Amino acid sequence: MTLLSVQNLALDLPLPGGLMSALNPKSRRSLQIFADVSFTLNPGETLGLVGESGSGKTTLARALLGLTPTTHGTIHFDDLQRSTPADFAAMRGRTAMMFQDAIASLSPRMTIGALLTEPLTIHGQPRTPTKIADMLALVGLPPDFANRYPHELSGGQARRVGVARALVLNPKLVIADEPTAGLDVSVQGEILNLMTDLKTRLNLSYLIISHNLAMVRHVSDRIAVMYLGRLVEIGPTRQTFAQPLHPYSQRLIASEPLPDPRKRREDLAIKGEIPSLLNRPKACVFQSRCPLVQPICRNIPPELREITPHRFVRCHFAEPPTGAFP
Amino acid sequence: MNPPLLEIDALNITYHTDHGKLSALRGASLIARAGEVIGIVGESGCGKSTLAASVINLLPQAAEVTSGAVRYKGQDILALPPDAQRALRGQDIAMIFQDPMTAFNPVLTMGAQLVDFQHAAQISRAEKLNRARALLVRVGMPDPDLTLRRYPHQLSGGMRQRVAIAAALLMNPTILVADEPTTALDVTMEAQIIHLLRDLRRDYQGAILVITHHLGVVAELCDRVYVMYAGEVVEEALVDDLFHAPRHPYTSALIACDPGHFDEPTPILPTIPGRLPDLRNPPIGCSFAPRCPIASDICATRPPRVQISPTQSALCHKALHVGQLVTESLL
Ligand SMILES: Nc1ncnc2c1ncn2[C@@H]1O[C@H](COP(=O)(O)OP(=O)(O)OP(=O)(O)O)[C@@H](O)[C@H]1O
Ligand SMILES: Nc1ncnc2c1ncn2[C@@H]1O[C@H](COP(=O)(O)OP(=O)(O)O)[C@@H](O)[C@H]1O
Ligand code: SF4
Ligand code: SF4
Ligand SMILES: [Mg+2]
Ligand SMILES: [Mg+2]
Repeated sequence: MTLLSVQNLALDLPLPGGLMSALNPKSRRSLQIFADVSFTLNPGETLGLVGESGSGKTTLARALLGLTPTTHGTIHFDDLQRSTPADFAAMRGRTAMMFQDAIASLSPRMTIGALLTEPLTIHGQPRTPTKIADMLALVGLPPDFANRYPHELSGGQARRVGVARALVLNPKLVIADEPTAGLDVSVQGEILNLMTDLKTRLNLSYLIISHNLAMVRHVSDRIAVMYLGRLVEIGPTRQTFAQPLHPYSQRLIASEPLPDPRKRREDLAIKGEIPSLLNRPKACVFQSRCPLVQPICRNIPPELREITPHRFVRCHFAEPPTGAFP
Repeated sequence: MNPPLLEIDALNITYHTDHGKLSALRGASLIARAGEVIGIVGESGCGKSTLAASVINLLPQAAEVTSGAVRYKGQDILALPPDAQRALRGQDIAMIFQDPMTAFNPVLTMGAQLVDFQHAAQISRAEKLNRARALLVRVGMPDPDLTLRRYPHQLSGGMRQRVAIAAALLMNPTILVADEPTTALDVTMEAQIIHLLRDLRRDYQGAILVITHHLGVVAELCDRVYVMYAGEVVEEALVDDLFHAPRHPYTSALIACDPGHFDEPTPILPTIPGRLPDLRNPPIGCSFAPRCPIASDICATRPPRVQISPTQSALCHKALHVGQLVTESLL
């Protein structure tokens, strides 16, 4: 049974109207942010979503929760199709979003205690007398934090409050957008360990969005790689990192700076800028930077194909991995 | 060995805050020679940006240099009159900030700004524009003429950071200070900036100071590294020694915590429990003691700076025996 299943999801946003569109509404253009996004997420599973800045990760996350309307495709959560605002409202208590900047996403004038019970009030759910202390204990904070204000917390503590707030309504699915961005490595591990521990204890599923490949590699069961609004590769984390099959994933993983001067590489970067959404290449989105590009890549859009069991790749020339993997 | 271009000597800097005096730098020393890329690492709040600001003399109002010196080619720049300091800044010493947006005026084109930055140069406007264009090519901007006509918000983060580096290079500085130059960027853009800084280092006779909390950037880019903790330099080492034979427990702990350092996925990542001490009231003994896995009674007294080799030193009572001990106790 899957918890979340997404089929061919697409999202277009209207382009900010210029003079022409004001005069003639028909000329108003829209911008495709992502399209043809399909994947599933099982109960208790963590999917890591990686990809370049601006590739559409946050927008996809918002769309999954019904916060931004989609243009095409279907979302099933708990085996029910979710399309209307009422459908999404009904699943809201079972899903939660952890935003990137924990301190900024917490209202500065509310105490931590009030912030933790706010979701209950919004959803008209009863609150037990020990709820706040229980939530604080769950994320390893002492009960007196209930009376503090967000600016009185360190980055790591604020992130813990963000985790507690996400879990107040007992969700099954937590979407975490850059859960450790801006944290020191010393604190980053603390938050990830906490999230891993809670996942096991509460049987949560996570969708974790991050630029930090090393982090995603440790916490995810599977990873999905996004490029310019397309999922170009999905597969089990270990195999994907060991032998990425899409030319973009290969370069992304090879670009990561490693913390060992003996492993310095001469050629780190992917050549060229990411093309903008306004001039998204036709057919294969990676053609303008792909070293393997052929005429077919400019004419026929590659499908996301299952190249080898559980590994999906969107490239005309992707081949099964060589050698044996554990 | 080349004489140092830059020498920071036992610098003490205090911030005057509403809640009393805060010792942001406590006897920090550093040298940089021509052709070197120096890394400065440590958790946030350790004093990295304060150190950087002292080099370029852009300390905030609240800061007071209570003792020590910053010498550029032997001359104490903190003692220079303000206009001489200003002349040095931008001409000899240039800075790249974490958020490239702050370096630019949002309502002027990049071309106009790159020309303005050269106000001190005695050349024509056309020459200034040419020079700006040449530097954009130098930093690998794909379409330099178009970039000159663009406004800051029309460029991606990675492009803006490259233009900021071009701007910093306009006056041919001898020292380039980059404070978290890749922190706001994603992996592939970070890799591009690392490449660019590597290229610069090859043909540039100056020194580059890179401040970062990303150890991967240090490993890929730097020759020597200073590790800061609570306003002090706790370890100084060549990059290979830093990663393979660290002598301060804090350095070992930072390396152990980096998830990039494990080849296999690890369900539980190491952490450094505890927090930085309150710098309004710094401890008398070792400032890392409350978080140090091998601390003992002696650590309540001031640790010595132990010189391990001509290029490596650590501020720790147990620097000679640290090694493996710490890594094991962390895992
Ligand atoms: N409301 C909007 N109107 C127009 N364009 C938008 C809007 N929101 C997002 N976009 C565009 O959609 C694209 C995807 O943005 P999104 O925030 O999803 O990227 P991301 O992958 O999360 O990037 P990052 O890694 O930098 O967070 C970007 O080009 C962005 O500029
Ligand atoms: N303008 C300022 N006023 C008061 N305190 C400051 C100011 N800037 C920095 N500090 C304090 O000085 C210490 C060192 O800060 P900083 O140099 O910014 O560290 P880093 O760059 O390593 O994060 C911190 O405790 C910080 O809170
Ligand atoms: S389809 Fe062609 S251009 Fe696209 S990734 Fe594969 S080889 Fe490269
Ligand atoms: S002096 Fe003591 S407490 Fe400080 S780092 Fe060394 S061993 Fe740890
Ligand atoms: Mg995002
Ligand atoms: Mg800083």
